[in-house]
Amino acid sequence: MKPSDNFDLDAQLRTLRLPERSEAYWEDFPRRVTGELRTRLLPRPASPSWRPQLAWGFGLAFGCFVLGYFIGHNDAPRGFTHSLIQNQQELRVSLTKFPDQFRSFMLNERGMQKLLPDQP
Amino acid sequence: MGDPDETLVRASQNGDPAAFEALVRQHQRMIHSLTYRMTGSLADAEDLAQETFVRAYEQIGQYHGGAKFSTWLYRIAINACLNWRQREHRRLEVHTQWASSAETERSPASNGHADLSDLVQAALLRLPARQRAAIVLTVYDGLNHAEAAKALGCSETTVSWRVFAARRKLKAWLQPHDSHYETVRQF
Repeated sequence: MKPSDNFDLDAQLRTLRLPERSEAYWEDFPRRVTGELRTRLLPRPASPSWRPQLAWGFGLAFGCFVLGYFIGHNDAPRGFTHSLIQNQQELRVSLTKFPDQFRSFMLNERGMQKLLPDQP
Repeated sequence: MGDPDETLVRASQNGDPAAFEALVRQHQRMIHSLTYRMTGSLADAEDLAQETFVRAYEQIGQYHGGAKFSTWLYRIAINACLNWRQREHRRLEVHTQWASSAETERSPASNGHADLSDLVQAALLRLPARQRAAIVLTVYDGLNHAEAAKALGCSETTVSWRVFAARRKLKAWLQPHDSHYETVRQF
């Protein structure tokens, strides 16, 4: 069906009504906006500071890393075992050569130390 | 600048909340009308109007008077409507509501004017958002194409094209013929 030629679209569009609002609404709305602004723009309460916790975390992680590194790369037990085996041989030789002559044996950074009694 | 809002805008830029409240009071009806015509929903129109003024306050330092304050405000409102997160979902929902109410009210006893208003709202909501914005600004708010172009952030040619395309669709949907409002009801 052919539409009519004298159709006034603008007149038809202007029949659109807007919902009516009370004067109280218009009075209140600007205050609502400024209230919302105050809420949004107020300085927020300081959040719990994360920096000290982060520092502690990094410190702990670094400590663990250093500890792990030294444990992983430290050959002290192996060296200690090795020197013990050597000292054991030396000890056997000494005890064989000089039975009942030694008062004590001492192991320090300079190696095996033997202490003889004051009087034989 | 020649803008009646100039003094209030400057005071707002200097952090005077009372001046900004006066600006809101001055433009609130215009912005509510715009957001309502863009959404067809009373509640969403209110939310978007409030969002528009909040954004305006946050950005007021960037307003340098190149356009009228009301045009600048229009632009913020249009962007808020276009960026409306759930606009498509809501639009369909509202659209359906309008369509069903239009059908119900088509009975002879119903108010013919209200019926037409509902159909117009339904037809507006059926338009793509940018075409709807162009129609709302030019037909309802009386902006010329140059002002509408500033508010929409596009060229005058684009506005002209959008208005033309929108009017063609609206005419097809709203023009009475034997199958009265048939197209509008086909959602």
